[in-house]
Amino acid sequence: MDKRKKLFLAIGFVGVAVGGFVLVKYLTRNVRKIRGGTVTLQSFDEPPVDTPLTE
Amino acid sequence: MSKYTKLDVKVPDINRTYVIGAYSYSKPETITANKAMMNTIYRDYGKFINKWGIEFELDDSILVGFIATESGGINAPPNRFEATGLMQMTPLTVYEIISKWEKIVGSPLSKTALTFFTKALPSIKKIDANTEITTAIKSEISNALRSNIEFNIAIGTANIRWLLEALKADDKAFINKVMISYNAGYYSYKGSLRGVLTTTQLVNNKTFPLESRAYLLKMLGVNGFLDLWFKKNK
Repeated sequence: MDKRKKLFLAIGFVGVAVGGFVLVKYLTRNVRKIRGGTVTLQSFDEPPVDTPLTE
Repeated sequence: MSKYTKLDVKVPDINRTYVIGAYSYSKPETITANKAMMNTIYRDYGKFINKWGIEFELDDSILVGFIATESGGINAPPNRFEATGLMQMTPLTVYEIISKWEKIVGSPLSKTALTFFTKALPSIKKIDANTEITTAIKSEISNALRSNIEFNIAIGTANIRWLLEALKADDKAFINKVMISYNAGYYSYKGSLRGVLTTTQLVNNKTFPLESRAYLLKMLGVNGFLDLWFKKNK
């Protein structure tokens, strides 16, 4: 394999690694590691229900 | 490697806030007061919370939330159900979790926990799953819960871990089911807590006590204790 092909291959590998890292970071942007597991931070589009619970 | 079941929590886990009369967890003054309460709990007891959270693999946020919900951070004397101190543990629950630890959790108590519990409860060797609690042991546990704050936090943390393991499903632990169980008692509702249940399902299930359903909103609702904790630590 000539030098040019090797260089493109290396760039390809680095690109996939960086892209994968960025994608994982994006998909887990609301996930925090906590002791014993994880917390996923959520938000809702609607305001919360604020009526009292009943028996 | 973790020796306990992994816990994944969504915060908030229900789009509802705790309200009773004019009092609401989403009012700015309540948010300020609840944040201040959690800060005080962590300032005063963070050392014990962290130590026993590491031991039983539970995050500080969860332990502070339980203390805030159970006692508001007040080291209260026993109430009419004998629930005592910061984590509102009862002598019977302490007896139950120690005597059945290995059976429920699947591994013995660690040396650190056993040494500490033995120091706090010299009669621990007499605690046996096949024997009813005696007056003397009950009294010893009651005294330890009342006078030893670290023991109260340690055994309350052990109780949360015990319940997480007892109520796990599909090899996952569920904090929402533990909240119902911690508040209403494991044996009263374990049949209704089988499998995977969402927090919305639990809150809407009127067979659970109102107080236990409110517990879920206080901890996992919008502007509940865990929501406030993670907003602060974003």
